[in-house]
Amino acid sequence: MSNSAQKTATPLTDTASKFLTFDLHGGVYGIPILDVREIIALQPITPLPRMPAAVEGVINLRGRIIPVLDLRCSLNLDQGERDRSTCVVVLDIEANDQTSMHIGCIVDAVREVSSVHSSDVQDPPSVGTSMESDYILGLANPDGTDYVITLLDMRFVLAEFVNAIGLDTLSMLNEEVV
Amino acid sequence: MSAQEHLDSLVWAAAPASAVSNQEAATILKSLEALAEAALADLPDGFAKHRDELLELTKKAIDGDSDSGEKLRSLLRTALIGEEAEAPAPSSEHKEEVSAPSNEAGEDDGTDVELLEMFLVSAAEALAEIESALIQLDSVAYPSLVKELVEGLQRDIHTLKGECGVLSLHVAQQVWHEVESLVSAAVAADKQLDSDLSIRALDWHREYLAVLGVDDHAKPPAYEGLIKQLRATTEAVESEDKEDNALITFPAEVMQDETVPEFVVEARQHLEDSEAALFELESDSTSSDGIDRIFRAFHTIKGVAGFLDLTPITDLAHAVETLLDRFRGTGLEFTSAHADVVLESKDAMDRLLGTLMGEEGPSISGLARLTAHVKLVSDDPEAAKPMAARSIRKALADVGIENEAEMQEAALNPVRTGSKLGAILVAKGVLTEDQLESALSKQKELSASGKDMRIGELLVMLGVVNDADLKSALEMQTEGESLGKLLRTEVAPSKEEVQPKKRAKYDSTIRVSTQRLDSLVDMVGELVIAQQMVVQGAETLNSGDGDHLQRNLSHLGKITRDLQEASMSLRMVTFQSTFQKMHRLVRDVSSRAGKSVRLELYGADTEVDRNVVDKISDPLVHLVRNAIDHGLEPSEQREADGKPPQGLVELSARHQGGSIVISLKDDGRGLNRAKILSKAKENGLIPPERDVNEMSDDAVFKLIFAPGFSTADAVTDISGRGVGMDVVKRNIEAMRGKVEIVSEPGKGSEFLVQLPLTLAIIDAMIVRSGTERYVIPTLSIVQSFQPSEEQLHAVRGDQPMVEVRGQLVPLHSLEKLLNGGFNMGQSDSTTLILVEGMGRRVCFAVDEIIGQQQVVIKKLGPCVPQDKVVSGGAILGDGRVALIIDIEGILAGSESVALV
Repeated sequence: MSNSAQKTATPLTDTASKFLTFDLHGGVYGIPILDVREIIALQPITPLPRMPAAVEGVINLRGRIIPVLDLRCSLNLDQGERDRSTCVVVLDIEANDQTSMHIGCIVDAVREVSSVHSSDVQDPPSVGTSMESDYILGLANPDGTDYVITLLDMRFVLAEFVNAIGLDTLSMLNEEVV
Repeated sequence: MSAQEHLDSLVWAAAPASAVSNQEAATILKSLEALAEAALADLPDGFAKHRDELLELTKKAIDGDSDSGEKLRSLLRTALIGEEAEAPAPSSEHKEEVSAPSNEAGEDDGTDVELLEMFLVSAAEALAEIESALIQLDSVAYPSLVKELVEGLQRDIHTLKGECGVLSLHVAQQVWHEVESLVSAAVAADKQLDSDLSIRALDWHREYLAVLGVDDHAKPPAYEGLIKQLRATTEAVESEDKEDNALITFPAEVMQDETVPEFVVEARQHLEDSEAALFELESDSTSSDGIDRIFRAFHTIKGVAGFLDLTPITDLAHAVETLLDRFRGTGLEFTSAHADVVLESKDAMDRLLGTLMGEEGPSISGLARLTAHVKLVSDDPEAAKPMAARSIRKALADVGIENEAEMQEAALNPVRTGSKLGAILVAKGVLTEDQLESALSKQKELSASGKDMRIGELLVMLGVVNDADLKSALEMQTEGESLGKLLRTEVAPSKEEVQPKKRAKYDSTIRVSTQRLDSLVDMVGELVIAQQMVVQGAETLNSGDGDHLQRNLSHLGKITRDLQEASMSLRMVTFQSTFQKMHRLVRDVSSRAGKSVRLELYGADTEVDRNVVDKISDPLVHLVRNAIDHGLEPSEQREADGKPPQGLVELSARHQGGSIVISLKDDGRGLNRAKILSKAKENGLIPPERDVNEMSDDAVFKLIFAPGFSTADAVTDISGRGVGMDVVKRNIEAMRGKVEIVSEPGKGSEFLVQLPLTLAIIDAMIVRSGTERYVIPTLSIVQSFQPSEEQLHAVRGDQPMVEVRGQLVPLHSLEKLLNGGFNMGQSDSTTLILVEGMGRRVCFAVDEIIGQQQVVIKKLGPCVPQDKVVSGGAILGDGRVALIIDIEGILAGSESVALV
């Protein structure tokens, strides 16, 4: 698990990196923009049986079936109401076998794309956060903002659910192209 | 100068210019005179015949007659190349080619990718043809048919060889050259062809093709051993022809020794084991255990053979033992070249053992050569490599000749070749005008991309014209006959018979990239969905203009269906090649099992989705193997039972409803119900106390598919290779197909494999359970019904059961089952669906049956439940996803009941 995270972790270069920021349970979070494929409106989700609660189910993304995660739940945050601003951020992440996999994440609201300089980024505090610090690339406070962005390493967040099905199952699924 | 060298210089001098210059002609004359003086004993006969003519022509050429220069060359060619088989004289031109920095494997960087692709396809076809001819040759006994087959075989091999040459696949060309000489030698000696060896060459080429398919410049797989063996066999056949007593024989008193048959059986087992070890070694060259195993095998053979005083066997075993000893604990790498040597020795040993059993033995000289080579390699393990390199050089030399001959023929009249050769071919009815036209345009294309090719070569390579036709056409061309005369003499006889066949061949070579096809099928899937969306929209709209809309929609529906069918048909292929492979398999397995088996094929033309064909191959192999190994009785027993001694295996394919049914039938002993049951009880597959009399045959037979159920132990005492039938079941069920067994003791058994026509789209029933809709493959559904009060029972605690046709079947609420609950509890569900899979049944309670339709199966993506309860998703008319129920997975993981 840590292996895949190390391999794919987005490097915080000294130049600016771009992050898509969004609201979640009152906080602001950021995902490297290169991991984001698109943002779509929340649509009816077909639940998958026998899956962790964070896995909401699957949706039809223009003929391709992709899983959707409740990001609040995956980060162990409390559930909240869904409203008009709730949307699905579709991530495009490289799987272990170099194939791209699409996974949707439900967030409260999307904010903007922010440039974050590595000088603005601090290591996550080791205590006092409500989530495992493994998930967190760092905390950023870009110039001109009055809030702190928690930069997420989505591979780490997702690893739990991708691992939940086992790595061999993953590769098997990719083989069985229909 | 030797006569040979004179000849060489003659060809050299005559070849390059169309008009021979005085100086050159003078040289020729000189050479000729020298030749005339030299003893003609070592010259080809043809040359001697033409000597006077040659001299005369040369004189004329000196006088400046350009025509005679040309004639001189063609005469020289016939004199030399016409006898190529006996006198492969390396010409000087060709020597130059060899010394040029051509790389070892003979791969030419300029090999046109498109040409190669074309070659890969046609070669695969040619291989299949050669294979079927070889296998037929093995079995037919009518001399006239054999002659026809051999001729066809020789043609095919020759064409293939030519194609390899054009593409600079020199190694392959050499291999086929060797096979060709083997066939010719066998024909000349009027001997049975060693088809095993030819088939090895086939396999080798297949492997090579597979590698080439991936990488244009792939090195050919290990071939030295093959070529060596081919040569050795050819020589053996030839020498056998000359003196039949050159075979190894054992004294009669040895043959009569009682212990000999026992020794042969044991030794063969050892050899088999050593072969397996060899293959292991080839994949893992460091395995010292492998060496030890081979060593032990040969050592044991040597020991016993020494005791029995079988000197040839002892000698060979000793040599191999010495060789292997070099690799024991010395850290020397055991390369595939070494493996070839050992394999060859193993094969020779096998033949020696066969000799003991009264079969025809290997030739003494061949064995001596082999033993000497083994000794050489054991003295110097590196020798295996230089030998290989040498054989490559030799290969290039041989190939050079071939190329030279073909090139010269095609090049005889470069200016006119383009049009006139084509015209002759068309006139002969070998070629249609369309084909010629496409070939000519192809030629232009090629030359535009900087690659010049003679039309003759191109035609041969395209598979339109075979070498023999080309040769005769070229000969006519050089003879300068008028086209009109040609037409008169040649058109009438052959045109009718040749054309249809060529056409058919063309039709079968249409190729479409699988990737494109896949995406087309995907798109069509989308279209189906889109159409459903519109239909649904129209239904809810319900406006006054509905009539018009409906009409358009039904039209759209028609188009959708047509398009779907058309695109599906692109993917359809026949079972021909898969079935063809079975011939080979039957041949191998039956000889291994020591049984005589006849394979009959029906419906090989049945078309099915390409993916299905690819995936059915493995299960079929297992089924066929099982049928021969376990199903068919040995000949003696068959005769005792009043059956013909030759076993019959029938493989057929047919369409039935919306699916394909493949049937594999044997007329053997049939499945043994009692044995299966006792084994199943032993394995705990069924409770020991169970009253088995209640179980239907069908249910009992399906037990053999259970994982861990070894049919080998259960049904016969022949130890198979531990290949369980569960592989068959798994593969077939992965394709959403099913297997049924019909068997009658003493009469035989039949395995019926039912498969969907395509893997991407299935017939399904859409049901609602709770808030969600689910897709259940129709293939798994036995029936849907609404139970009466009397049918429902609550037995065994709170597990509800439903009585269907006298059997109690566990009942689950589909929704709760999927989500992990196993109890039905109180539910309003009144509709039940009885499903079946893996020989087990279960009933699902659903809230509503929405309808039946075709759905496109989609992957669920990276997150799927660990428990196998859903096998994929389908996008329904409203754009939402419905999960496809994995019936097999559910049956495996929940309470169900075996079929009764």
